[in-house]
Amino acid sequence: MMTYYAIINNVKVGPHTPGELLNLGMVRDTLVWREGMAEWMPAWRLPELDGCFYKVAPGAGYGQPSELPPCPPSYLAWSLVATLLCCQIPGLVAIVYSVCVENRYSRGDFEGAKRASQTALIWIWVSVALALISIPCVIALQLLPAFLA
Amino acid sequence: MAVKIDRRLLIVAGVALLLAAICVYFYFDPSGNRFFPRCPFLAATGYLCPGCGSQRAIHALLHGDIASAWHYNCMLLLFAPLIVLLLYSECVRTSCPRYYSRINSAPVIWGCFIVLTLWWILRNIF
Repeated sequence: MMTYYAIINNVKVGPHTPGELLNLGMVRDTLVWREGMAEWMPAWRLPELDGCFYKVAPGAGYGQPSELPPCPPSYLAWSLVATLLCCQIPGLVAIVYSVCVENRYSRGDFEGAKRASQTALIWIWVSVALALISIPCVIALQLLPAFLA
Repeated sequence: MAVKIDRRLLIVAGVALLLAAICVYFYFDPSGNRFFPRCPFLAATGYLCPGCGSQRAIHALLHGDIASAWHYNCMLLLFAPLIVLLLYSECVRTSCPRYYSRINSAPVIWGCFIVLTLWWILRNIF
């Protein structure tokens, strides 16, 4: 493996492999040099070093939104079904959490988006549970007068 | 693997339930029928909820009577195509993330929320 010299905290270190330099605190603008190079250069100018920043720290400020994993599900379809069929309040709460999923994801906050997604899903299951409990109760109440008569 | 089987079971159960519900709502008219649940929110508060009229609207829709369906619950009609699109987008979320994020964008979701909430209030006033 190719080894490099680097200037980290004003101290020249090396020769080290790219992995060791990352552990020592190499960032994209750290000046590096290897045999064959005419002069010191920032690490990002070397394709083989620039690549390892993205692999190690995709979310560390240099990553593009497209490098995030796909957006966690917003479950909007299910929230709408819940709102329009039986459970307006938990349905609307789930819609609010769907917005949180999108907002956090577009800010690059994947973990936050995932949490909001899970919360939205919980509210959808709350709707399902409410429906399963309330529908038989309502039907029983409606049929009660017929039984008593 | 276990997750996959669970998912498939869920989908099969969901489709079976949907077909059963379609049959029930096609052959029976919910209005005035004691075997169909009335809205608990309406019974408790006297106010209509966003879902009130959905059962009668579905019955009318299954019989091709769009005018009655619109009269019972127009939002169900308006949101039905959007719900189909959203379900499709959820199926292709990982394979086609750009389509997913376009249809699941914050303006669309806020729009749904505001339209439904406003309609909930307005249908009780007018």
